[in-house]
Amino acid sequence: MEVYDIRPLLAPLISLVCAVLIFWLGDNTFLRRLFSISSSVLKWMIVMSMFPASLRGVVYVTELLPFARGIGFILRVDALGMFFAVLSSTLWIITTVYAIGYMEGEHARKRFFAFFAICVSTTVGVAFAGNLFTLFVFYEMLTIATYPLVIHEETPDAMKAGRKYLVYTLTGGSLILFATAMTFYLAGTVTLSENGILSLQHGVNTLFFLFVLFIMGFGVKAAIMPLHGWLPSAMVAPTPVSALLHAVAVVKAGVFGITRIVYNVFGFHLIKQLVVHFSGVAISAGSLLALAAAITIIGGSLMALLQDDFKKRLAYSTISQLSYIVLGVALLAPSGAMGGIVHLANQAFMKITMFFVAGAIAKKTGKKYISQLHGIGFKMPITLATFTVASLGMIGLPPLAGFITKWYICLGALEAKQAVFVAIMLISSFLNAAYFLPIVYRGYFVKPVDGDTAVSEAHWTLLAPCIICALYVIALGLFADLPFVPLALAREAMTTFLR
Amino acid sequence: MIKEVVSVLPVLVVGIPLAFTIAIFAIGSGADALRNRLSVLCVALTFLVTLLMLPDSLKGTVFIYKLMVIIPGIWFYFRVDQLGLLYAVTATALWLLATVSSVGYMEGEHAKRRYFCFLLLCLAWTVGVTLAGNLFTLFIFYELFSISTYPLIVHEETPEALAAGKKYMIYILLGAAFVLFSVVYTYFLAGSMDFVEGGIMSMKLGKTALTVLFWSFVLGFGVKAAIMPLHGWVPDAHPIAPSPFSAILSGIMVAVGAFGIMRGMFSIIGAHIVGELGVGMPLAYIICFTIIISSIIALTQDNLKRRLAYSTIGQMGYIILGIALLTPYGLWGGMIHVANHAFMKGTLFLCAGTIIKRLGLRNISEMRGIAKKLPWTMGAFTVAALGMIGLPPTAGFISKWYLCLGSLEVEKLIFVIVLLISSLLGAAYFLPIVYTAFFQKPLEEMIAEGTGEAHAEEAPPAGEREAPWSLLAPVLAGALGVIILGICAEVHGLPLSAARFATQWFLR
Repeated sequence: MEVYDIRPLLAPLISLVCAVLIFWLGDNTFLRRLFSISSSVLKWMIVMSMFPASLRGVVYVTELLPFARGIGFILRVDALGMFFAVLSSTLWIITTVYAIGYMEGEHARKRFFAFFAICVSTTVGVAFAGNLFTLFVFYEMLTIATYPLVIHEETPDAMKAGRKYLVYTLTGGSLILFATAMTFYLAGTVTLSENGILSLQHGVNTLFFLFVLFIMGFGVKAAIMPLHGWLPSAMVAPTPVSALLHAVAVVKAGVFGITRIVYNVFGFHLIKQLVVHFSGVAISAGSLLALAAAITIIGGSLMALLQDDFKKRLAYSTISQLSYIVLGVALLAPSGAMGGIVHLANQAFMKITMFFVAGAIAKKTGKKYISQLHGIGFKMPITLATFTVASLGMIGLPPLAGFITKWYICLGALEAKQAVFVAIMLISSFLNAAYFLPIVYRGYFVKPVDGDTAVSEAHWTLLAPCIICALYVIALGLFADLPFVPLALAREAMTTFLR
Repeated sequence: MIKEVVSVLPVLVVGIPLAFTIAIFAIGSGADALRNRLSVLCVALTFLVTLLMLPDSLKGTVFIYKLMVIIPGIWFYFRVDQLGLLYAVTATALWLLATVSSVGYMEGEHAKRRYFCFLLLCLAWTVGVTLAGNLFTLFIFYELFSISTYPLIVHEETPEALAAGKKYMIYILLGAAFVLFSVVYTYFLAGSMDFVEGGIMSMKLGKTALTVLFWSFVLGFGVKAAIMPLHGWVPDAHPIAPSPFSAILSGIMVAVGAFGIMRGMFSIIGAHIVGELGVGMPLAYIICFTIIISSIIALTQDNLKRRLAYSTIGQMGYIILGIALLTPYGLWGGMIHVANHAFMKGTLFLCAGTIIKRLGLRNISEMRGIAKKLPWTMGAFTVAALGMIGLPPTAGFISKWYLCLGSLEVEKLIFVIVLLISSLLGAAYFLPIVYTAFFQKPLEEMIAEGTGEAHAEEAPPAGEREAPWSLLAPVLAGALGVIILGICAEVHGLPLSAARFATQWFLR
């Protein structure tokens, strides 16, 4: 049921207004904080006000001036979009508190907080986009708005990482533009629809080419190997950026795009029939994507094992975990889709906890390498405890968030009769244990080198977000069945897409 | 007939240790005396609440309590049948002995708060596994329990302990992957994961799928049950943990692995289907291999706790052999051996702990004449060792008797022979310890005799003669248990009556 409403526009607009205000008045620390916090809370309230109706299947729509003939600027809040918007606006509040503590004493804070707000604005725009064109516009805006945050330090390393980031993502963006144009040419529309807008009459080979084009385009931000190169480099950014943008907003925009392509552009039924024969071998679109995801899951985990830089290990773990979502979507089975969508949230809360911890440790002790973290659990026991919860969640220990994902994706793999992906998931959990648990172990069981075991936690603005997110990780697993939780929304999305 | 009764008791059994864990954590690292008392009180309470369920359970009542939904359509719930209760009572009883012993053993050790917190936490998760009402609940507790064991295994924080802990984690996490696969696959095949007597599968699902499921259960839980060649972590982790916890590791934890296999075989797949698949016998043969090889390796070990650990691997084989036979007698033997082995091996490890604590000795070759210093402790050790060998009237004999009868039921003489060889090997590696302790003179005494100085006749001062009560009492209670379980095996309320009930329903 579609309902016309202004709120889908209001939600992205409010953080945009916030950005303008910060640019204008942000030299004053108090005002800057006031704008950031109040707009993030306000936005969250707007998004949440749409949540109950969205659960019941109501779709809010705002339509503005058309860009071009037949292509309007449409914001349309379906269950999947709602899911992504709730996620990013919730995490924005927490990250804002964290950023206030973390950026204390850094330079160019006005620029930082303003662009931070723009990024969140465009992320919600991506979530609410009602057609491919609107999606593309917000997607590209997100790319650009992230750049000043990546290069925030303005060191040579940061500038280099920024350049790499732009080269990767803009190339991906142009592929998406090409694919969008091609979709318009084929289907005569780019409006996202519950069961897809393309049909087999356009020719299997053409469609397959289009599919690959889309996947390569969105795959850059989704960090599907080998398109992942920019993500580990971008870790030079300040930690709140790595946390919110490189674990949630930016990378999830890529994964979200892939989900949209599979279910809302091609459609569940069409993708299932999309099989090309290449020199005698039948390749189906779904299994090609699943295979790419599987390679990334294992490859990302193996690379993570090799990293000593704390944030880089987290980055490779993100690469691996993002492909859980892609795999879930690509399985084309009900449980798989649910697992993939719900992992948008589960991975976000787990990984953001980890980044917050990495940042808190770096800020408090200046230690950025895992090999320096001897006995950090003696000095910062609560911080490391939240990290432990998140790690166990990543491994998929019940009853934590990660387990819910693992459960549904494994079930999805069995439903799709592709048991090999169950094996991939299980191997990956084991690798997760192999690269996260040594950090916990080093923190709690190895004595600090300097013998100093006095407890000294980070400032509360850094500690509280860690604790809140860790509690979320537990709650998302323990209360997965309650009506107002991500899983219910994911199921709503899944049932409309797979009808 | 099965009568299901809603009862909050199972929740209490898990809830009490959890609440006490928090309390002990909250009182900080100073108050040792208070912590010790709270820990013993907690385990005693848990034991008593578990016992409360026993009388009705032996009349055929099954206690259930549905707590909450974890994943839509899948309940987190408790269902206490006779097998589960047999395990829960055994676990809490052994835990009580080990906790009292811990009070004495941990005197003067470091990180006592961590030790006792995790000791109680593990109790909660362990009884959770045994009282779980479906595979999903079981899996949750099983995983929590596997992780919570780690800080106890590495307690000493020596390089060897840390290496053993790492090995443990690798083995257990790999096993957990197969367990998870079994859980998902069960749900996929049957659309349900509830434990039902007689199983929830049907042959219509296909022979291949069910066979895969069976072996996945065995592989997953077999890591914890130390089926060779999945046993690698046992000989490292068991000796290195503090001795009271070694008693739990060997007595209960590995048996929980066997519990998982039993649940998979009887409550999920169903005994009849396992029989039709013809997978029971191959498993039994693998187990025979485990029993013999582990006993031979045990012979070569000089470290007492390591020898005990290898003995555990063999004894777990008894349990799994019993259930793999799929006959009433075999099942009886396997199930009662859970309790019998817990008491025997628990007592042995607690004795080993006393020896380490009082005399600082870990190797058997150094234990000449220690019975002079620890007469009661070594007396209890001897009783438990005789039980391990299977001599009447100890508990071990009852297990062996029913296992042999079970083997004859399937007309496989080979299993009887394996059991008898294992007994002989058991005698070969346990009796020399008893001999060394009681009949060999300490080295310094022999040297003294050689040089003509005869001062060694003097008895040691009274204060050094035995271990303190907190170490001695659990050992004596354990030995008493070994004898009672042997003499009074037929008494209503002891493991055999529960095993009969369980068997009757599982094999129907």
